Amino acid sequence: MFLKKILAGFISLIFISSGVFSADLSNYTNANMDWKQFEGESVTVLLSKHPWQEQIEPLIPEFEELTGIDVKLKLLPENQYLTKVPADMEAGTFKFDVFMTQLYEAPKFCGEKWLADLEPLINDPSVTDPNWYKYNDFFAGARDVAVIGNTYLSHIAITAESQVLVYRKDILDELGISVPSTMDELLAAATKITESGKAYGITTRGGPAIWWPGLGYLASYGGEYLDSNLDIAINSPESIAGADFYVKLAQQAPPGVTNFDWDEINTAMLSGQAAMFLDSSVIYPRLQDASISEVVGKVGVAPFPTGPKGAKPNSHYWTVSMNEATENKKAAWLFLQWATSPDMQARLALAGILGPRTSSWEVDGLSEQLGDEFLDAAKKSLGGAVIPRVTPGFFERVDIFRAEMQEAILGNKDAESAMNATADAWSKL
Amino acid sequence: MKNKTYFPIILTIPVVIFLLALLIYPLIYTFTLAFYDEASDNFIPFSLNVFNNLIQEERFLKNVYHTIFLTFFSTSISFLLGIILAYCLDQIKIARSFFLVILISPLAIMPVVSALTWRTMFNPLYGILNSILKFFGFEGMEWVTDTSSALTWITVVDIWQWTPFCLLLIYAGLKTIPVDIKESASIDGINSFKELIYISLPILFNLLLITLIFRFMEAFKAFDSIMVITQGGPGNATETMVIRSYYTAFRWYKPEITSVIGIFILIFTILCTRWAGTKIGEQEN
Amino acid sequence: MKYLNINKIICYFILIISSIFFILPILWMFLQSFKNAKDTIAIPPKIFFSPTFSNYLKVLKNDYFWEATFDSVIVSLMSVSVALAIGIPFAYALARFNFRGKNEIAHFILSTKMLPGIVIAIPLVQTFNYINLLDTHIGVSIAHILLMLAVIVWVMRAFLQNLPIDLEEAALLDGASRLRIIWSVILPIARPGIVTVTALSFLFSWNDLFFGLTLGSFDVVPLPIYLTTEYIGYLAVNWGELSAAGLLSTFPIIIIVILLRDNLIRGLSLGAIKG
Repeated sequence: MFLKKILAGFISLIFISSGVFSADLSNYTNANMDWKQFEGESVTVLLSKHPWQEQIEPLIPEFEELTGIDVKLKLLPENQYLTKVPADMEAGTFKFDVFMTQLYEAPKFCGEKWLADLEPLINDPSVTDPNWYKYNDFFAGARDVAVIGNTYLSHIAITAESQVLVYRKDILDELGISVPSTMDELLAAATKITESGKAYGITTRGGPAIWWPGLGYLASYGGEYLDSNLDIAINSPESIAGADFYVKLAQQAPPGVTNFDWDEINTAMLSGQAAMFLDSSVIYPRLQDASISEVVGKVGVAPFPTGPKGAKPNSHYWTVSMNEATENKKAAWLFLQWATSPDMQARLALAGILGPRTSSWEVDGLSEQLGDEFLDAAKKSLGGAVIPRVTPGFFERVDIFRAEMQEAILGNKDAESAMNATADAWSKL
Repeated sequence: MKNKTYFPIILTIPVVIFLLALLIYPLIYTFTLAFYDEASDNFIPFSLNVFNNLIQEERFLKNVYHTIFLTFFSTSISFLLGIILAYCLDQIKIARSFFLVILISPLAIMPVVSALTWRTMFNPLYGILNSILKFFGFEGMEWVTDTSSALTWITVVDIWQWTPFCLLLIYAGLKTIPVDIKESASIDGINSFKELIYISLPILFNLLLITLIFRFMEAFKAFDSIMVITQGGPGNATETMVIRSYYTAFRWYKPEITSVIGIFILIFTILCTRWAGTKIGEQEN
Repeated sequence: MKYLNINKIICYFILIISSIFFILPILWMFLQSFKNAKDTIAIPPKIFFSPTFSNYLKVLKNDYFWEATFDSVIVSLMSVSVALAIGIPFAYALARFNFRGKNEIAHFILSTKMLPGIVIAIPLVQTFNYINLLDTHIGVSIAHILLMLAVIVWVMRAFLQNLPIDLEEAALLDGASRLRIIWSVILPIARPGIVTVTALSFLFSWNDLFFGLTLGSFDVVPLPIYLTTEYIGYLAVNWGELSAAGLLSTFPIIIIVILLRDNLIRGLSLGAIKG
């Protein structure tokens, strides 16, 4: 609404003055294709709030300058995002061209043909320069995610994160604990720290997303949610051992762990209340930000500890996809290509968003920016990482797992009966 | 008197047209999704399969129990508190508008924002509530992170949020009672509390009933606060029917279950409010 | 006289205790809104800290905050005025006339309030898409009317029933038309009721998150959606600015409460007419 813009602009004129934008686009114009072929058109983009979004959002004017395409951007926090997208998709009114997707929903989104097949666009020389875009530069894991569930090429990875161990160097030194490299050492260290009263031993997600770190523990004990035939494996002895370990570890977390989500585990680390953290590597750059963190310079990073069956942290690739209903798929692809290009992912990596491309881990200046300790730990963890097998109804399954795990953490039942109850409920779906 | 028969119809038509235009398709859609069954042998292809499966599920019975627990305690406590506070406000002279503003202020805060605030206040580690308890020498509590107490505290948040609604309506009602009725009561030597019970509240019977109905329905539909504070956990301790229907609709892609729960809620609340609605209808004749 | 004093002391006591309960979260928001980012997540929580106004300044400097406020104001003004315009006449018809099917229609309106938005969200989005009202102020306003219509109709019906009928009969004998009676006789005496339902309706619209989220995208972003989008990040909540924005967005409500208070007092003197 035009009137609205004028009015809002007028009110805030009292406070604000804006800058003029200009950027160096030579890394993009050297691609062997015509960026300007859709000048004057527009692309609508829906993003969930995420560090990747925070970093790429200010760069979007560069894309507009490069292509002459007008980008209409809409942001939503994750919870509302996960409501809006399915609601509009089911109603058949989803009108965004490019949007962030989660690989776990691939069976539903691809099965319904809500997502566009990107393969023809990648292979179309009029809109893609293969030597510039370098699709094979993506990790093999990221390329698997793109076609996850044996469907079609629909999810382009934008981030690569896996569980790493973030710990407080000062507390571990003071108590004479060496950095845990196995699961048993981890539990012993966490217990010792909590008992010392200096901080809680560990902080971990016990709320809605408990399944995400949960898989890392299960896998390192040899367990998994579903086996390779997609049969239920959640109550195998290995899975139960992993779940049991997680339940024990959660006892060393701050009170209220069953309601801990991203915000809470971050707060516990940032404020110095917890000494260890075994979740996504995304947290690390934040801990070094003095405006929010009490622990700048006191944290170390190590790879995921080894369990009886190796170190198998869970990993996650956020992806972007294109709406099948998009009218000008080529223009939307230009945006998608720009956002996932090697140069863009290198720039984002320097801002702390580790990318799913080999090249984005070899950028000049990356080790000065993030430190070799962090890069090595992240690389090592990602190398051994697992990813959950996705089936339709993935979120319903992990919700049942969440409820049972919470009962176990609260001491209402033991890990074995919780996992048996989970398997029982899964078999009825 | 011909205009007398047409006149109420003219007043009614806009509302009816508006609601039919807006809701006819959603209602058909909901019922179709809930009961349509291609495999059925009936003349009209429908079946109660989804419904039957749902009511046999232990988890759904828990959902119903949580809903009833929350609805009953939240409705009754905030309704009674609303009457008491309205009466107190009516009695005092000094600082009346000060108290009125404070007491209805929860209504003004957006539910999402206040729910987020409650969530941090409840946090056992860094929440202000445990700090206050510890300051007075008590043990910290688990609040919403323990299966046994979570639903109680969710109910408290709901009471916090909606008591002002009751208070506002009842207080406005008390204000419409003519002053002379109260005066004659006090001349007759009836104290003000008895006057409330025996004179004011009966006059306001319809308004009270309506306040109760709407309070009841809002409690039944409570969503924002639960979704923000516990998402239905820990375990399934705060998962109500509405929370469940949210998950089935938007996360688990089982919209037929959402529709069945919606119809279940509709029928249940109609049954519950039918008596009250008819009672209000009778009053005017 | 002694009894009266004890009664009042008890009343004040109850009011003070309840006020603490009702104000506590708001007080906490108020404190948070003056803290810098580190203080908002400090452990243990800080009651004493050096206050900063930067949260308020950042919110006020934000273009999009004003746009969202504008959207919310437009949507709530449109929905409340239309809902009152169709709801009050119907409430009057229910309160004063007998006609076939009136109770059925009244019950139907009540039931619209019972159907949770979640259940009808998808077909409702389709309906709005069909009539081209997705992502428009009119579209969101229409959905908000659903939230408030039942309250307006049923509460006004009860208020109107309590009003004396003599005045209307007198006006009718004087030859005034029925519509004129509603306008110049009923509306003035029913003012406390109207003001109350107006305030409540305004709140229902102002605070609604769900319809704004599902029916709006670019052109309509009401405040609740904007606040949560802007201040809840992926990694953490920006407590300082969220609290500041949350408190700032209550200003329209506070204005309405002040208006309401004046009208309640006026309603009191009008109530005496009956005798």
